[in-house]
Amino acid sequence: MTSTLERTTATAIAPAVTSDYAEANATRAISISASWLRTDVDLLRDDVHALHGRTRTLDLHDRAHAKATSAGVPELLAELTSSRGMSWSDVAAAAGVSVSAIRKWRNGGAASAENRNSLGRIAALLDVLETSAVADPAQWMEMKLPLPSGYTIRPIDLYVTGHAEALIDIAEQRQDAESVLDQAMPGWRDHRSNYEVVVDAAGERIIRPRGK
Amino acid sequence: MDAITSDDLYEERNGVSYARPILQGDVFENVIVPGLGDTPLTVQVVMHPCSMRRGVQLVQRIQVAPVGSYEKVGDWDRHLRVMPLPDLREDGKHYAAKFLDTTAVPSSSLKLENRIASLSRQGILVLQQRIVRDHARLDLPLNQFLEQSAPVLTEAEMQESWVEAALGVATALNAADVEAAATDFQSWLDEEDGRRRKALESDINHADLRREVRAAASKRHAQTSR
Amino acid sequence: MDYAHREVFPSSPLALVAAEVRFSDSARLRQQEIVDAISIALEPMLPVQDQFQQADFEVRPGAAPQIRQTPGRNFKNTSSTAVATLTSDRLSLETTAYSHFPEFREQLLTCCRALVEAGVTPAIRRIGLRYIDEIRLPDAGIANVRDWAKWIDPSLLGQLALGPSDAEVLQAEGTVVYHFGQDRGLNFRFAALPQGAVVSPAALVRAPFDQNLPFFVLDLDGYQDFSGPDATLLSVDVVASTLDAVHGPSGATFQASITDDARNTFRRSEK
Repeated sequence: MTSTLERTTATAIAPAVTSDYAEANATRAISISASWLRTDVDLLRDDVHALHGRTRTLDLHDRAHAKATSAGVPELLAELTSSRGMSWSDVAAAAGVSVSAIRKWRNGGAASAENRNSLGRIAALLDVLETSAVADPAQWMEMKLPLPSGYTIRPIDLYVTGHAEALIDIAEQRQDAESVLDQAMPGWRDHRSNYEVVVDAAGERIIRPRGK
Repeated sequence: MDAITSDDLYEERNGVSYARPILQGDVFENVIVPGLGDTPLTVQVVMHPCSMRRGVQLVQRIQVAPVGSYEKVGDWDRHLRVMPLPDLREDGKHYAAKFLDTTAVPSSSLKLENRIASLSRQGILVLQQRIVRDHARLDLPLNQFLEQSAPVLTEAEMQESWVEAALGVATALNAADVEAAATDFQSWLDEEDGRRRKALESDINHADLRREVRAAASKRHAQTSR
Repeated sequence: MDYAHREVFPSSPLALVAAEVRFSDSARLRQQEIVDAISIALEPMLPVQDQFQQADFEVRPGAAPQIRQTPGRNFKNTSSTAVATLTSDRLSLETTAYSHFPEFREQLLTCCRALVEAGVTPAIRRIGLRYIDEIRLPDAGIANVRDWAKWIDPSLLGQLALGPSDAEVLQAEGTVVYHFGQDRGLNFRFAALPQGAVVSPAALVRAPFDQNLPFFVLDLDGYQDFSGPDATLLSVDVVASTLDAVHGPSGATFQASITDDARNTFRRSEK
């Protein structure tokens, strides 16, 4: 999401552009993010500022149930790792189980119904993300969110801490990641790292103090 | 410093798949450590994964820390000279790797049949965090290590997928076969002018690469099992 | 239809193309059977259909905001890369998988044809065609706005020299409104932003991109207003010729905004 410029406010500044030019208006499209639209070109003089409100029913619970009842654990694991491309660690974290448990399931060990539901839930979430928001859900889940430097939060981290709805809001860019996190995880800004990972001259990733 | 339960710390215990490349955090028994006597010891690999290899081959010497009995660690903010290894052998006894005695051993002395435990990705990151704390008195958050190690850990996971598909999921395989399959994987990475190896450098390609390797490895397995 | 440097790039930075036909309120478009007939006509091209309620907020100074709910329909293709939106005063088509103008033009005309054949021919108010490019160059090492100089025409970066030269430039933006006379115009908006995206994947699937990279936006909106005493009723011919007329300036401005280095980068085929 584009970062909105903070502007110095003053009561003397007119709310909309009045100009001698012909009324400027814009071709509307639902794919254009709200923060880009916050500009004078799109605000008609004295006229309607249209915000598109859409209702969408999201029934993660039903979808998860359908997934869990139609496939066994090996199939669900294969879907998440082979078809989607999630790493085993992320699958374990998302399903709320240990990596050793996942290993046992990989080798044919038994999993409880609750475990199967957990896997179904993450598989359902990836489906929802794909139909409504992102081309490659597994990839999107593991890429860190566009936040100010010093913060490393990935969508999968949001899922693991129980904020699936916030995750979907970010994916659909209804609001920018920072605003969503402010609501879902207040206090996230307190954990800012003084370090960052960069690629050095030899092409290797290194950790170094931030903002050099 | 981050704490971690034994369930989350280990990837495997009492038997580690041969398909998994030797990585930081792996625990080996029966290793003669130069300078620490003639009795074989149990050791943990503490060397950074990025430094461990040239191509498929391990470098000549790998840094390890000897593992001994240790109390059960409650507060992970203390015991900063060791890497706790709770319930290492799943028998209720606790161990730890002692950073003070970190030494290099010939890589040939780390044999797959002697590997008794491997760490999960999270476990490796905790180990890295503790190594840096011990060596440099520097406290870094775990996700920094995750960001730094992402490519090499993804490559290791991909190699394991590949070797597994080529040789089957079995703990004890022929080490020579494993090496041949691993070499195969590395050649596959180098194909098309190193396209895939270069793609590994960016996290944005990792999901795609995981899908690719699993598809290529399944195809390879289907061919060899005919 | 041709403009300087016109070409189709394999590695295009084009994030969204949207065309919109605004017209006077059409009572027929509030009739279920007519909207159904249009939906059926669009099924071969855009089979994934659903209804929505559009909430429009009227904000006037000195009055309480009012909310108007209008029903509408969406028509998407199966890959979720194109969607047409229809309400009683507007038809739009947008896509994140634009390949070239004739194809997109034909898709919009198919939508118009569906309306006209269902007897919907209201007076046209405005036709617009908007191109939004998000240029990202992961290998170029762009860390602040001044680094875009190799890729973006200097005239879009000239203003940076006005401020302190020892300061980093985090963000830059500009808007130009061109007017051709006879109610035709081009809104050109450009911005160098540090991260994120302008085209949200809320409705349509986008090709993967890294939202942690700085990017340069070129937003070109060519339009034709229909005012004046004689109403122009909706017809495929009028939409076609208007689209052709507003298409040229956008393309030419885009090409003028980028350097040859950028052109060469976009020409390189994807993996």
